[in-house]
Amino acid sequence: MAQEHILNLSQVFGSEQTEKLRRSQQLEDQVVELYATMRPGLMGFAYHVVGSTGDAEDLVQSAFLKLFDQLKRDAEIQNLRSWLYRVVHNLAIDHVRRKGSRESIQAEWLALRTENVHSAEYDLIQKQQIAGSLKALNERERHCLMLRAEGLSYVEIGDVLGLSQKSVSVYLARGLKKFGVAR
Amino acid sequence: MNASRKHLLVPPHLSDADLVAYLDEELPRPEMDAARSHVGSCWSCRSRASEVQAGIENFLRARTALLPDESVLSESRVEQFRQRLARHAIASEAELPSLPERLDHWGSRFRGPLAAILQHRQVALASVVVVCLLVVMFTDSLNTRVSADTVLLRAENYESSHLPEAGKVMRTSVRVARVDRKNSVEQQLGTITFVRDSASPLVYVNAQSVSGGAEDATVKDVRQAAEPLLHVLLSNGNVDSSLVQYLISQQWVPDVSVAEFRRLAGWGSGEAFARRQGGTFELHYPFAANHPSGIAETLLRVNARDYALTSLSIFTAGDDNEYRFTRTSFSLEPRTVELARVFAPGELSKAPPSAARALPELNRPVPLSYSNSHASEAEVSVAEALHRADACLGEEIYLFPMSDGSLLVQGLVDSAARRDVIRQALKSVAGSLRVEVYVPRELKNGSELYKSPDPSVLESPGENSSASATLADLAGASIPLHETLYAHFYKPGTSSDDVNKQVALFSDEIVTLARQTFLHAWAVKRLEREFSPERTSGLPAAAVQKVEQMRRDHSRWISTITHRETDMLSPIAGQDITAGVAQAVAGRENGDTLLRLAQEQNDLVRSLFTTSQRSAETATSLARLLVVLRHLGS
Repeated sequence: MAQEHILNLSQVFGSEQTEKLRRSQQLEDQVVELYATMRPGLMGFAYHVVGSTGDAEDLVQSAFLKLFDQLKRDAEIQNLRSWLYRVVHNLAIDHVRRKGSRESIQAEWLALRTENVHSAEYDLIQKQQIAGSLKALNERERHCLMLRAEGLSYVEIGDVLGLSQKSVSVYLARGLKKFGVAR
Repeated sequence: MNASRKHLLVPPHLSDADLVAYLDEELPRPEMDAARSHVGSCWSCRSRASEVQAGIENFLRARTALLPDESVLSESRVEQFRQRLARHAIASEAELPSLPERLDHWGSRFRGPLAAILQHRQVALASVVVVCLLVVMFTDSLNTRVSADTVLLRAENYESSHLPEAGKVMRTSVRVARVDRKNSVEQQLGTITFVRDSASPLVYVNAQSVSGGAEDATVKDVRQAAEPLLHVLLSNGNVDSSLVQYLISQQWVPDVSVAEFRRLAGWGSGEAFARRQGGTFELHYPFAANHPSGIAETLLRVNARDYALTSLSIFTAGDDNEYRFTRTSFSLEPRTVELARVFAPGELSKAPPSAARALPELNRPVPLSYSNSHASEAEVSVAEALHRADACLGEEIYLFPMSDGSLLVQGLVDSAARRDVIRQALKSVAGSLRVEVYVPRELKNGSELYKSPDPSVLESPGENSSASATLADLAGASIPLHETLYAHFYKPGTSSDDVNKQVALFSDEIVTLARQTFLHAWAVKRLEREFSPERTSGLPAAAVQKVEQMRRDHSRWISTITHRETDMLSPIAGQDITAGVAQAVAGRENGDTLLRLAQEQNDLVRSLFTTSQRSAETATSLARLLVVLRHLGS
């Protein structure tokens, strides 16, 4: 299922579609349409990094504004999805750096995140377990897992985070192991 | 069974990373096939794969649980983004294009020519390299660092290109001065003249000190004359004797040449450096402390435009003095018969030591022009004295820098009384100054007077433009503006003669004022020529300030006089004309513009208020006159 999802996105947002976007007179409409399609995944990733819905929303919208500027000036974008995730990732990292030290931010959002769990399936112990499990991962491992969960291929994850495919698989394996052990 | 065979029989288990990549089908195809085969047959790896899969599912559940539920907000967020994007699009349209965009736009203009160049890129590249080489080789445009050796080499080239050709001699005049650096006081010590022959290796040298001492000789090697030259020039009581002795012992010749400068600089042991100061290269060669000569540093100044040597200075360590040798002339002259006798082979030994002194053309200093001389502080002082005596306002009085470094004030005035005034004004000026001011009856044929030091300078405003006959003809009443003026001055009960007299006095005053305006503008222009930036480049700031003060004096006079003229003429001109004039005012520019305007106002005034000119369109001329006066007065 996940594989099918990846293929579909590649077809929709491949270089051919990018070219169409560039040529389109309704560039704004197309960017909005693209935003509506890709927003959930990007929001999830951004929220994971910055820990705030409002900030995440702002970062994702900023990324699409940048995309609009790029398409308007006919700039070349090879893979639109990894480009968008990369921009969101960079904006989010900058945002975290501006707000303060990374550790304190992470602790803050992890605490906040567990408080936001409203599902009846999770009791307080489970919330603490999740928070503890995520704390056990380092930043690279968390980001790799989150991007993979959003359906990005290893190549795309490597493109977003500046890693090789092999490194991505190593971080994913370590991340899963730590997460499982921590739970 | 060795290890390799064991390895072939029992394939290794998949690593954690490979197992995750296998589940994600992210392994390369050969490894994928091998992994699939291994997991299919390996219980252990299949079990680990199940654990990994369970871990993935756990992580996805946890992630989903942590994400905020935003499904209800999704549509409103999209609409919000649509509005934000619309605002952004409008703002980006209004913004200036970014730098890359501007560069791209700018570059698009050159795409055509660039394509053509790229087609012939080898030729284009070769052309660029050649041009760059030419620029570097033959100009200093890219040379931000000045090399002392390079400057010296080029100065040497300049000198070798100015050797006297057949039928010519080279005359070099050097003025020697001592500058007290503490008080910035310059004391003239004397002058030296070198005349190099083209037909023989002989050099005629002549040195004259301000105290009256003189030496001259014709020598084969100029160093033979070093001792007497230095004795004469540096025999002043204030001069450091150890320095003189050292220079004499080294047979150093103060001819401001590259060769002698190299010798002088060679005694030093410090690190030479050069720098550019405006239009001059300065080459500094420091000496080691306690050098037996007492020299602290030598300095050579070279014209940055043509690499002609300008001056050479020796700075002493003890008394903090500067001995400055300034080239006042460096020119090729015809080899006359008298000069040929001085340089005649065989005659040298027979000639008495002072034979050449009988040659007036060698001993007599010649006037220099502005183009081949530099202004000195003394020249500024003399100009200032003449300025105070108003000798700069149209009189044929010129100030000549002479080849021996002295100054000559020469000219023609109307009367002996006026000459006395000028002489009296010049008495306060120190230094070597000669005054030759004639009255007309003393001149035989005019050959006593030198030509102006600047041949291109405008002629003295002679009597042709003067207002010698300014008083209007009372009876004839023929000046163009007579009727207007008469109507202006007429009052009931006044006799016609009285009104005409008022008209005449008015005309006389306005013509006199116009003439004065013109003379001040002429003086400004003359100052600009005499003390041009090229001539004053080496002057101290105080001297330059004096020149500027003189210029300001004239400008102030022009402004005052033209305002007086305007005040007088406005009631005559009437409201219509003055209203139109008020708007047509712009600032004055330079001496040329000033002089042109002053000339025009003088001509207009003469055409309107004297009988010496043809009648003109009076209303138009008067309006134009007021415009010009406004320009001059602004």
